[in-house]
Amino acid sequence: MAKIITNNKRINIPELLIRGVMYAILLAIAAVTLFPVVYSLLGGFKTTQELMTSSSLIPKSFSFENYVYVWDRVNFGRYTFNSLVVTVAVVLVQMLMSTMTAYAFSRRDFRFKKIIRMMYISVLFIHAGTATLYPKYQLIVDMGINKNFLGLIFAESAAPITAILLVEGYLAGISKSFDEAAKIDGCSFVKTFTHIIFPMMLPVICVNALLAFRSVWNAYLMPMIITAGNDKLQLLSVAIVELKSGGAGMATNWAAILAAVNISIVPVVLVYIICNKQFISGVSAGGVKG
Amino acid sequence: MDITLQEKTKRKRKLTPGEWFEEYGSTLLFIVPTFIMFLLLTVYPILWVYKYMFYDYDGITKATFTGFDNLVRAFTRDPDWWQSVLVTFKIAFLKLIIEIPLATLTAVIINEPRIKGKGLFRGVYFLPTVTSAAVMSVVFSFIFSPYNGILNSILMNLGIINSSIDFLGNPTSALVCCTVISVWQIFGQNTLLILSALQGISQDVYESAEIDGAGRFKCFLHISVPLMMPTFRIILMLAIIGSLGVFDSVYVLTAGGPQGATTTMAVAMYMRLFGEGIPEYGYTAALSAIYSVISGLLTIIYLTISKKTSEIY
Repeated sequence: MAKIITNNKRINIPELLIRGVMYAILLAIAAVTLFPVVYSLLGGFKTTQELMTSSSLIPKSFSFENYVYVWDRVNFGRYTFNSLVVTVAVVLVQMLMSTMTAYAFSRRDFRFKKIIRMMYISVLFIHAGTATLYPKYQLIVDMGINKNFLGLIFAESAAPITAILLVEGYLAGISKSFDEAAKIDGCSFVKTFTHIIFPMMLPVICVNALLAFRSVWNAYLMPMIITAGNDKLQLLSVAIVELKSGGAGMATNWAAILAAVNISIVPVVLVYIICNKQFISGVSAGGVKG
Repeated sequence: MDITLQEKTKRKRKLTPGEWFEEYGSTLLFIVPTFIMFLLLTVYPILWVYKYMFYDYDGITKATFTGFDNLVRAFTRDPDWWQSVLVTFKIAFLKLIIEIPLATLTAVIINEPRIKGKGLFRGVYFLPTVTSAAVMSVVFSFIFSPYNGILNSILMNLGIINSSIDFLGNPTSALVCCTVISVWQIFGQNTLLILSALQGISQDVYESAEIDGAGRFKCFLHISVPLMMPTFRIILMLAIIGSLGVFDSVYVLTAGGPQGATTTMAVAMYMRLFGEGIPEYGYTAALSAIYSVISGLLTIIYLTISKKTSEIY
């Protein structure tokens, strides 16, 4: 024992050095990771001229001019509203789909259960490529919902397979005696779900809702295809990219574009900071398994 | 015995609508809506691709069955497509050899017991994964811009370069830029997964190794690495499959240019579906099917090599 202690004392200086190097690596990577986000957050307060000429990251003055400009003049109020509506609707729909399916899978035995479950899992491994965008788009046009919110909501509301599997795993840990007790007390299947089991599932629902929120809020490709040429329906992500590549005269207004970028990333970053634990547990659980 | 008999008679008796709903209808209600969405948005598009790969179809005139013509064309007369396959693999390869070591390095350091602020570092590294690839690529296009782009001014201030570089105008550097964005966005997720695998290893194993006189590096090589292997394989597989589908960042940053140097398979297919010119839905479906087979084959090869199918469901 005494030997180990002296040993520890002797390696004290190299130990400090190693620790210093470790912190240096971590900090350097953290700086590179944060740079684009910080650059955008601070750049949104600068004027375009300051953005292009000043080498300082911190703006001379914090002016909200760019935000006022994109919010009022480039219609970003509208786009933010669109993104909010679509995201909230899709998250709700997907939470309903995942919890109901998982509940039936875990508590009921029915014909085709095994087959349906297998189909759900097997598509996680099938990637049919980008051409699948066209039949999806055509389907939405044929249904006549490509000119309103329904089309966008429908397009993003694919069956949430990973969420279903996560909820199913969670339900396996909730004893069936809760269901049986509820049944004896006269609760129907639906009522047991809504009043007894649903509240117990809230932790896993929160995790799934966060992951769904992230993916819908950030969705770009399908919303871009659906809203092409339909400015009023555009979501934030689509409108921002269009602002960069598009409108005459607007292309050079970098500061305004950064302000628009911030309107899109600040909500999701805030939610992430608040719900950091849930996000991380969701990715650790869902990432490896799907 | 008595109970089962009762059950049987109960089942044979005709159910009232209420009983029927409780017994069967409620299950249907819980299963069917999701299943319909699954059929419409997941199964139908996949079947569409595998059907129309055998057709000549432009969306206006009637589709005509052409057998294997599309596939023959893709394999014999379409160097552009194979160029995009190559580009995709280049990006995927470059991304993997940066991302996996980077994620492993950060995870191992964060896992060190003597390092403080674990949660903070993990949180920072994971932050990019919650932002939108498309939106952040807009920011990156400013950073990489040749005219007053911040990266150019930093490099010039440091005296590394004399005149500004057009990062996105040169085929090689454009490819690297696309990779950098992908790595930036996703490595934190892998840090997280590797970290949770590391934390799953019991501390006792390290302690007994230390008593046996193993150093820190030896511990890592002979304990951490083998025990992490299953998770590591899955991460690698997901990273490969994920890299094949890269679209948002590339499309926003370079739109596939310059001269197709960053046109990934996904971008190439998108251009043929929704780009300028007469769309060739049938032919694109064939390309999509080829993509599907490539990614399927990689998955199968991977699962066979790692023989860890049981780790995933």
